Amino acid sequence: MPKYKSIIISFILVLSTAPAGWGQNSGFTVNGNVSDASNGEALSGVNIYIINGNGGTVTNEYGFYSLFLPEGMHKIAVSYVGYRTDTLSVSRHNTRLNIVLRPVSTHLNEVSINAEQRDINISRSETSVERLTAALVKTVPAMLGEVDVIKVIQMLPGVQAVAEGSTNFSVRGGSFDQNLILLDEATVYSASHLLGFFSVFNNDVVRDVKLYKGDIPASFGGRLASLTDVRTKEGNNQKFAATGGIGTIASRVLVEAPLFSDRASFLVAGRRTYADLFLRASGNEELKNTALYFYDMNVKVNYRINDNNRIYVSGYFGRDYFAMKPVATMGFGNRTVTVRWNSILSPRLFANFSFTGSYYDYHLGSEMTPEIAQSWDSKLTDYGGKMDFTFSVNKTNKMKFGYQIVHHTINPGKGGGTAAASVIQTYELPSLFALEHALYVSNEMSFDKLMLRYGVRYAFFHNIGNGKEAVIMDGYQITSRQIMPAGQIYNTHHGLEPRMGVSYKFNNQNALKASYSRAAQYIQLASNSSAGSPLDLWFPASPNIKPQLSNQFVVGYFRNFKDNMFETSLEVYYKHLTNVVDFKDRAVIFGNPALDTELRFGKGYAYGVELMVRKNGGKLNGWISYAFSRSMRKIDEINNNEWYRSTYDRPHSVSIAVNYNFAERWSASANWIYATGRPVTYPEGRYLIGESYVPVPSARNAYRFPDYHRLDLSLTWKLSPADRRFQNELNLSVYNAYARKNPWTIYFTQEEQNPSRSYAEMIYLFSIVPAVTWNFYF
Amino acid sequence: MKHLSLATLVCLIGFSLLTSCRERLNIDTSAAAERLVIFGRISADSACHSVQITRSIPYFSTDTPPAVSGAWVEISDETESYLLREVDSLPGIYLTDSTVCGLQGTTYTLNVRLDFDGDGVVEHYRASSTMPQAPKIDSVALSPLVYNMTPLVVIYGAMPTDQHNFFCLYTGKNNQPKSLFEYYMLIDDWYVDPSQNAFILPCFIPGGLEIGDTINFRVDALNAAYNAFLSQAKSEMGASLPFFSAPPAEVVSNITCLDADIQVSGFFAAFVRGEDFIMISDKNLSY
Repeated sequence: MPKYKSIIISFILVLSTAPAGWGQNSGFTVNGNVSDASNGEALSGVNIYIINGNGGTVTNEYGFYSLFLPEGMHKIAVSYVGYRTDTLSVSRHNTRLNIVLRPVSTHLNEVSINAEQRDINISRSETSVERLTAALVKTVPAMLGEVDVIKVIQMLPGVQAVAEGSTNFSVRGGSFDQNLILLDEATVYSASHLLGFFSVFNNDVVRDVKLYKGDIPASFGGRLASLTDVRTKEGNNQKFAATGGIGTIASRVLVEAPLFSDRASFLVAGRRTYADLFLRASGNEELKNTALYFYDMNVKVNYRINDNNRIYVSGYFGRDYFAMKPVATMGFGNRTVTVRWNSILSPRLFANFSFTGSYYDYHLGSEMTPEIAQSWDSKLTDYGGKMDFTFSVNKTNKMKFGYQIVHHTINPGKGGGTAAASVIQTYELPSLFALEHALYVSNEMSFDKLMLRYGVRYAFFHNIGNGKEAVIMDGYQITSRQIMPAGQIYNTHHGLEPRMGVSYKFNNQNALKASYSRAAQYIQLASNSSAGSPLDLWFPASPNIKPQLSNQFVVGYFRNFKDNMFETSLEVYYKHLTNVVDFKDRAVIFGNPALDTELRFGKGYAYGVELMVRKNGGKLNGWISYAFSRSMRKIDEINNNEWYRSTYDRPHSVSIAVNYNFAERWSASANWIYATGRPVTYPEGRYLIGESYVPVPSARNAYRFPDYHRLDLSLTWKLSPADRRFQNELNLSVYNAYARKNPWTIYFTQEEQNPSRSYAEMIYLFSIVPAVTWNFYF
Repeated sequence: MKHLSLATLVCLIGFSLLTSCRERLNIDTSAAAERLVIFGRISADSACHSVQITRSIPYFSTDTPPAVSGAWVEISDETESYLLREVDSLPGIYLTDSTVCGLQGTTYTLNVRLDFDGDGVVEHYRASSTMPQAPKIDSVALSPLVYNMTPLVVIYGAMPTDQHNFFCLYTGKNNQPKSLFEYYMLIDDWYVDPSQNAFILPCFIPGGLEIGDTINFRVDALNAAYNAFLSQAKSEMGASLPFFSAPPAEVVSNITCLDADIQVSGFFAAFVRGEDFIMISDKNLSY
């Protein structure tokens, strides 16, 4: 590692001290930050371009830009959807130019479906990327009125919820643990509240979300299928503001304000469900002792040290709690912390240094009597750092490079009797330690019509000893047991992950793009279920477990119509997976000290076509998407070593999301979702053991659930005139408006009175679910 | 493995919250190929030990599984062998003499010869199972502690310390018979400390208890493979929940066909049937 450090530091010093014209043709550089005039929020994805000339750039995720201009006087335009376009004159000198954009309207319900610059889908070199804003998410009808960014992600082409109501999702046939979910750069290991019905992301706090469905930038790694990059607001540095709402099951509030004039600002937000508060008031003892709730809190502070340096500190704390005291209690939650330092090292070199921490734990307990009172706790802790640099080499080239390191500590479980009189043994599974780090570099070359993007990530994964015995396997057989030396690296995986893309822009309305990306995944989820549960456990690659690998190819055609009013896209992808991990039949996952012995390995592939038509503005806006996708697996010892449909193989899916502003203060939204039923294994025969029948299962995933479809509706009434500071609105929503009974699970059983007669029964979670939410903002 | 019951408890409560909306579905599935099913057991009691031989049926068939008659069936250990005879009135059921008694620590082998596939050639099927050491239970008593209408039972005794113990607990009320899979729970000594001589367990009785009700309690000792078979079979018979269930899978059998590629289902088990304990409820715990 010291070697890499010295190389990187030397490289950065060279770049930051380079003459301003180095690497450029004759010309000069304008750079700075772009922010929102109303609240000081940095704006990412803002288009800055030369009027009547070639060339331009977009702000990065921190609002920074660096634009190379040829010698002479120029007029540049700064444009961003939802904001007034600004036109500025720039001279021949290298200039720092911080730009403040004014929103067209600050009304509570102002929505633009495409929240970036015009024709971004044409000019962006990346394939398979979607961006969502909090305002867009708010327009989509939500279950129980709780708007949720993950539920909107699940409506994008190529993305599927893994089960009814779940926030876990599959991207292009990948399993849900193949999605990297970042909250202000910190990994979120379980993005679910209430067993998955809600996500951990409070929409009031979210600034924007980017979903990469495979063509993941080289600066990110560690997952095969997707990256969901959630960025939170920074906190209003212009005025005190508050946002909140009172809903059917939860309430939330956010306050933000400037500190030290406009040099700093903070944001604090929280929400909590309150069904349990009513239960406590019950006269029934059992109901009094029942609890089911979640809460979460987001905190963020930022401080502008000077024009070149800014520091951000943000944190998330959330917990779910479920109890039927004293029979059983269960709690689980995430905590993340991010400390970020943005520094403009030179007019062309922008740096982001970040320290992140992620923590997830769950707790099970029972306190029936001292003799059998017991508990079980499991947790995962990550600490990491990242140095990320963006260097605007010249008019044509923009380079990104950096180094990332994460230390994983996994405590799989510790438990036993909790009282002195307990007859239950105490037990602890050995902790697992690993270090994951990577160097990356990428470059984007922009010519007149052609854009090339190429980069590489080289990742290392080290297993670090815990001083405890571990199994060594050959194939699926244990060959020996060895003590892994405490604190020492005893195994290393490493590999090259090239990422590249090409985009050819025929004109401002047409572009053809292609990309290739290779990704490696070094930690994965031990889950014995198709939908995931809070008790799932992450475990690392090891001498017995090779990292999972994915190679994905994408070709896409993008076409806009009517001055960007309509955006369309067609993408075709093929993904090949190797070292795919699955569990043998009836694997023992919970509390197993030798989890490696339960694993089976194989390969897989997925392919598909995704179509999207989006209307960006007007009274009626929204999108329609269709995806055809297949996902197959071949895993040792599963399905007699034959290929089978993966759990996430759902050939046809359609999403329609429509928002209609039919009066000044009224709007209505609807979404309809359709997907082929998910693959499932059904019984095909049965045999008699004693007096009971035991089923004979079909081949793995040989059947499918009934197709899934659902319509959600919502109606929003803005109660305040647009010119008032205090804004409030009432939202009525209906989830599953035509009461479709979508199976959550299907099981087979026999009649009690006549065991020779078997039948299938489904459990469905939701019929019509109406909700009312009152939102405010000032 | 240890603390599995704690996770199971939490999952069951979660299940109960999520299962309020149910509806029957009309689903038809293809018929699996017919297969041979052999299920036999030998215990440490002096009794007629049985082997049941049948054929499987399509899942939605309402027919009785066809019995397989005319098989040659034998159970043997290292020193003796016992030939089983088919009961005339119960086709497919083969019994030992009533004097046969299994011995703890002994390995028993089941041999079955029959022509299942009808090709005129008799196939040979075989399975082995070792009878475990049984726990020495001195007594079982109701604890004065009760939680939420569930009595707690204290078991006094000792379990073998030189083997991994697996137990199958049967609980019931007023001597109502329990079938094989109506056990209360499977438990092993990963969960309870074998050095203890008293163990306390909640004893859930569906429907609760009234004063004077008889509580039946029995602990069978199993080997690991039979424990797995009972667990797997019951799991396959139950509901599958997305949050907590793996895909359905074949129940693993320990019976193989030695001379043909014929898949066999079922199991042959040597186990120790526990003593039947009776307690009288002195509390009204009905609900």
